[in-house]
Amino acid sequence: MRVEDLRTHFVTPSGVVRAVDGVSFEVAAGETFGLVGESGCGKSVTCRSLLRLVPEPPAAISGRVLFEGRDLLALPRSALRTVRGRRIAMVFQDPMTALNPVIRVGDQIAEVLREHQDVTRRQARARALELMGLVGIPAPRERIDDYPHQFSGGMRQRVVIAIALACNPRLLLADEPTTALDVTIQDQILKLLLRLQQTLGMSIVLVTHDLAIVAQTCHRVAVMYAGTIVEQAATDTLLAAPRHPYTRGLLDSLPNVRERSRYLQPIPGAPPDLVRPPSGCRFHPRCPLVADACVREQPPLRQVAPDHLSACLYHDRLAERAAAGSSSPIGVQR
Amino acid sequence: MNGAAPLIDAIHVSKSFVVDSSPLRRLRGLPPLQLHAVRDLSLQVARGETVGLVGESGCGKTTFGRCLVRLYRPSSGQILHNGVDIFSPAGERSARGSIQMIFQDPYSSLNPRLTVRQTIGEVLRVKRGLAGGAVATRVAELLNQVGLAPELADRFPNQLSGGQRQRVGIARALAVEPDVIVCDEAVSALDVSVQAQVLNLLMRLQDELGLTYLFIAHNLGVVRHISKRVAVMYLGRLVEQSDVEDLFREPLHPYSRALLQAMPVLDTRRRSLDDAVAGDLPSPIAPPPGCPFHPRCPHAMPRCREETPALLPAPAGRTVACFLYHR
Repeated sequence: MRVEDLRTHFVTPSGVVRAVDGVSFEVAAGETFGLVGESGCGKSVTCRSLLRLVPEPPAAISGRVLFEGRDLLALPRSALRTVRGRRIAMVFQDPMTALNPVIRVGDQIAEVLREHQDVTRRQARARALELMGLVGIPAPRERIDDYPHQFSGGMRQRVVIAIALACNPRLLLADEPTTALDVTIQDQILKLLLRLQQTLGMSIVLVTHDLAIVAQTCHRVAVMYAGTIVEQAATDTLLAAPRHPYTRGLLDSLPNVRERSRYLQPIPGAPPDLVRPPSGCRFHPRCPLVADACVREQPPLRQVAPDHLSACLYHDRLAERAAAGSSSPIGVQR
Repeated sequence: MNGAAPLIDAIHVSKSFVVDSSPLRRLRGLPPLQLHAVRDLSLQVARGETVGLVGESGCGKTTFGRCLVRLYRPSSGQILHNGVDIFSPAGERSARGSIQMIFQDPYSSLNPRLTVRQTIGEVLRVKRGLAGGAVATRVAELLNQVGLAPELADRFPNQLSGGQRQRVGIARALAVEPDVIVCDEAVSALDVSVQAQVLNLLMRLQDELGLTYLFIAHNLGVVRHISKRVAVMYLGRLVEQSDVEDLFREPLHPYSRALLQAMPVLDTRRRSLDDAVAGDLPSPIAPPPGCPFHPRCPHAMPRCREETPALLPAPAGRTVACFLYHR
């Protein structure tokens, strides 16, 4: 999948909210690509816009989403339905609201198969059983006629994943799939997704707010801030030597085991209002490296090293610090 | 804890809730269905200390925190604050105000129809008996203490960000001049950059005011940062209690081990495809007999299915409830 200059703007009474404002990235076959950022940065809207799952209006989506040789944003609605659920599937955050509470889970899985594939009722049910086993639901034969409320949160998320995998999609969009789950269950679901990816060879776009989850799952990652991608790189590169002060700030905000100090290094201030984003670089009001140029122009996302993009004019300064062996924070006051 | 009497001493605290006492159950001759949220929990907290309380949803950590601030009355057991039972008449007078709570959700824990000034002022009038100009002065002081600009005093909660709301929640707790604050998932709902700001604030307040914290959270990274000691709960029971660094270096209880392994870390080299622990969390209404963790435990022995292991001392001042360590 290749995304070019995706923009999703919402028209609201208080003005145009530029939730996603010029986002471009590529997802390779078989890869896990992370979209990470804090609440309101546009990561979920980006994910939903790829399948046009945001209501239009109030949303206006522009740009190009190229997938298997077609631009999904230019397809008529009817053609889009053959892509959604079949070639690209989605897993949402809350497994309770993603499932229909009054339909048995087996029927919900079978429904997808009957919708997208030419199968009999009996075949669909057999495949539903198989899928429930694949996603690790114990005793699927006994659980297939249960309703969602009879499942725990983790098991419900497994059902949602079974529905997503029903048609062997090439790409899975996972929007905070484990945020509502407990730590040990989160671990199980993430490992399940990774194992399924290995056996089925699909690509995954994982939307999350948790850099540690990215570290454990993603090959490459894009960091979003205020509707734009500010940095993109291979996961280990990004974590070891970030080249954007926002990424650096996020890492410094986390409690660090190696450099224990009593006080953390938070990013000062709060994310901006997307109706009136700051001029120039959207991070400049909170940035320790801010200079006049940052206020005037919005720096483009440029290549700063092989397979490493940054939208900071002063990315070199971060690189120098990394080269000097210092991973200490960039002098943000507490 | 160095011999001095603990500031908080919870002794064999249990709390159960009746979840079903319908006439139908009574007709069938069944007793009311009970959920044992906290079972036989003993925990001590010294003055000025921060103790982390960790565990997954339904493990009873919030229920225990609520018992401390007397939102719930324990079904059995005692909670002493400064040596006084907080549920005795003397305790009701003295403890009121001296154990306060900060809640998880800064959106639902503030009254949406009161301004910041009214929210804090109400506490000052009712709990501290202040009136008139003294209230305004103290509100300004408190806002300053939690790092909120004075002009925010006349805002309503919906005009504040999540981090600002949580600061208001902290100011409200401080208004009573407590010596203990129960932080119930106080930073869980916040984004990391804001979370770090609030954690710093909590630590600064502790340094300035000598506060004691019981820090309830599921995020082990945050708990490790802020706590000196940590207690791990599973299905209503304390399974391990330890110095925080000892726990991270060498977790004793198999559940603590699983919990640490399941926690994602910022290190791409520590990837694996294997589950940290199999199985689902059992329902606290029908917990497994014996050790509550035995159905998921890789070391389960026949004995674990029948008996509940007691929380016994282990080296380095730790305690653990597991037969692997019973000699």
